[in-house]
Amino acid sequence: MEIARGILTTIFAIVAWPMLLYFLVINTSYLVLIGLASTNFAAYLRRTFFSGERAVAGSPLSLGISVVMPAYNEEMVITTSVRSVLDLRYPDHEVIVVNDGSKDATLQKLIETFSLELDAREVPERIPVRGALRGVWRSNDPAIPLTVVDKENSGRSDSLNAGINISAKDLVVMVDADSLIDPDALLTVSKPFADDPENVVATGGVVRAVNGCRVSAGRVVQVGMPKEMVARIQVVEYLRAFLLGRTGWSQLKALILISGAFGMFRRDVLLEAGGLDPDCIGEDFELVMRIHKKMIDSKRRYRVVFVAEPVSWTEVPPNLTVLARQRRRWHRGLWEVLSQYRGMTLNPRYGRVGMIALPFYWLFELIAPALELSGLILVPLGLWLGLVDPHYALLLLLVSYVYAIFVSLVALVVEEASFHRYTKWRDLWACILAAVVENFGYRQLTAIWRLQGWWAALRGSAAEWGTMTRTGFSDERDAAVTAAEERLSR
Amino acid sequence: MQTLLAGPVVVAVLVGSTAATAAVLLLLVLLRVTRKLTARRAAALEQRTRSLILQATVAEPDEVESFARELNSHGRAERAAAEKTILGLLVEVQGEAAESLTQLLEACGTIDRAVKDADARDAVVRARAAEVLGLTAGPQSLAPLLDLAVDPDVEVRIVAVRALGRTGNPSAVRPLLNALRSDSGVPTTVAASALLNLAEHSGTAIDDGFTDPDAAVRRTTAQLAGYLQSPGASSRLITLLGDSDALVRQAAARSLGQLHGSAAIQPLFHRAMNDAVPAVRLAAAHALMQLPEAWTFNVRTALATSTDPEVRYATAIWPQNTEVKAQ
Repeated sequence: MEIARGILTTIFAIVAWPMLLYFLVINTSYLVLIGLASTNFAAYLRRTFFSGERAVAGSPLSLGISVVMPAYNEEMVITTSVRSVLDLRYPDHEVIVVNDGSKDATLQKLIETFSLELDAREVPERIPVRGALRGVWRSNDPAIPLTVVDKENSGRSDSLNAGINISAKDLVVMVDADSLIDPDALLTVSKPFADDPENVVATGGVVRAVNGCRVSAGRVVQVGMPKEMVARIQVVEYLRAFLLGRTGWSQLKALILISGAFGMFRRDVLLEAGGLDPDCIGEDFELVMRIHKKMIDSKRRYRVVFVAEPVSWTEVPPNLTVLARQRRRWHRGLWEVLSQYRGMTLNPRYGRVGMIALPFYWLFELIAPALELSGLILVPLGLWLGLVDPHYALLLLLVSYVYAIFVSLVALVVEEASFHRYTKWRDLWACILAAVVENFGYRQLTAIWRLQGWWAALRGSAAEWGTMTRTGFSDERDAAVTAAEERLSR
Repeated sequence: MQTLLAGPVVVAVLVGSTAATAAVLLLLVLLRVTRKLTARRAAALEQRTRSLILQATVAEPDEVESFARELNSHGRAERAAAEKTILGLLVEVQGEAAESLTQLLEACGTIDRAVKDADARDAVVRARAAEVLGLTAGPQSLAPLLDLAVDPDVEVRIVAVRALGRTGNPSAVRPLLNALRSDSGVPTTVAASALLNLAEHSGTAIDDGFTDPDAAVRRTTAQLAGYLQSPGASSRLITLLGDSDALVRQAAARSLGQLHGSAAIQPLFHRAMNDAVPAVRLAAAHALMQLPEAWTFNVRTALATSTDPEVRYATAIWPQNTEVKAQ
């Protein structure tokens, strides 16, 4: 017992202060990112009146966009999704749906609804695709710029690569079939390419949670908070980490992660990079890292930009089971990409990406759950054994939890002052409550799942894709979708 | 550690963090209250002049003045709200309706203010002024917009260049051509779109651009030539197919597809088969596909032997087999 006490005392003597400092720095860094994002939003909102998006919408010189949408067993929503993407406001865009070997009537629905005809031409394969091509279907009506690539099931990344191969426009945007896109999203997300066509190689749009929103004909018509606390917490989480965090990184010129649910790339850069890696779980992250590396290695000037508004809406996991799978997968992907590009970390040759962004992701994203859980075990144990000063325990609690609540509330303040998407008072109270509740249970559970994902990757066990239970949108047209629908998330 | 973590330090941190969290909460609620109140007041103010504005928009030209007088009789706050509504509508309408709305803005003093704001110290204020002047596009807009097109701030220049395109005035063409230069800071799509808006004046004015030493100017000129259907552009575009810059060659190929000249067939075929850059080969192939089939039958057949799969794909005819249906 004495030996154990001795060991614990030594551990506390070594880790006590670094742990306190760690939580102080992690929360402060989030606060700094939020601060950077708020300056970006303030500048953006001051300029909305003369942003010139309408001019882009009316100009035949705007860069063409290919919207690539992989679909697997999406028969319930596919026609609504495709219609809503075809109807996006943009002067020159085509839609490419890649049917990833669906077992349901996804392909038939598309063929019948849009009167598609088989295009028997030999498809160029600039990026190697694993899933065998079964056919390419096109609309013969120039008013419906729709192509459907039908292939055997081989996963999301491979499907996207098949879509990129067949895309004909200068820009490629990747969206998920179950995501809903704001009508002006293409105009806004493509604007950095129009403003700086030689340097901008990729842009990412913000992804928000659609749970609780009212949807009509593939469009979010009323924003609202979800009913489930798990989903509510994710709303706050997405706001803090995706909207504000990524805007902050973009402002720092060190954005390394663009969400796969809504990312736009220059087609030539995508082809040069070789498309998405079908073996990588964090394929979106990996692609952006590969582009960064390629550009810096070849000493080319380039920019990766995040656009905070408008948005793509996606359904976040409404329950803990699905959330656990998602977080394990995300963390596994994070580890895979960070370890793959470890040579760039702390390498001055890679500028801010190597010196700021990657070390941040190692320290505050990858390792965070391990440190959080060790603190959760060691500190109460130390208190019980009388080895930890109660003052220290209180201080750690303040720095790690109260400070985190403070950061989330600041994120809500920035959202309120800028985009103000949640207009009802009850939504505001729900956000505040979620910002607090997040720290008691949810945060610890996600830490456990993230560690499990990391551990699975270290052990080299097979990747877990799992299933996503979709509850559907409150759309009168898509009432059928509200029945729980099982689909593979990849 | 014990001494450093003495009670007062921890208490101070506890009080400080609780106070900061409470302050943020209060700020959040205050922001929401202020926003709601402001929105309610703005809606009420807008409501007072909305019907007048809508009537003026559809009124006969000789009736608009009376609406303008009526608007001018409203208080400052109402006029400011009306200005917002009118500017919002002005983006949507053209012709007589736009002229009527511009007349109302004159009554609100918006245009005079924008002319004055064109000299403001704040670049955002100058950019806003440029946007207003472009939307109203009256005779008094041109001079300040020409100045703003060479503003030291690039953001202002971009808005002014776009606005110049809306003026319809031939004097705007030269500054727009200058804005095409790669060192202007103005995105070429913005300057080129503005030139397209002035198509009747810029058709021949872009002529010098074909031989400009700046590749960005040559590229945009090539792009514009297709849309403007500039006289004599075909031969100049064919020359640009041999340009040292790949983006210029690509733009020239795309425009030749729009111009429908038979002289372009062989040069385009040569590019589609032999250019070192895939994007140029593809652009040339697409251009050939836009030309009448009777002229291009032979080259299309020859393109089927291209080593570039993208060229073969772009030039193959489809649907080749319509009998095959989805099972």
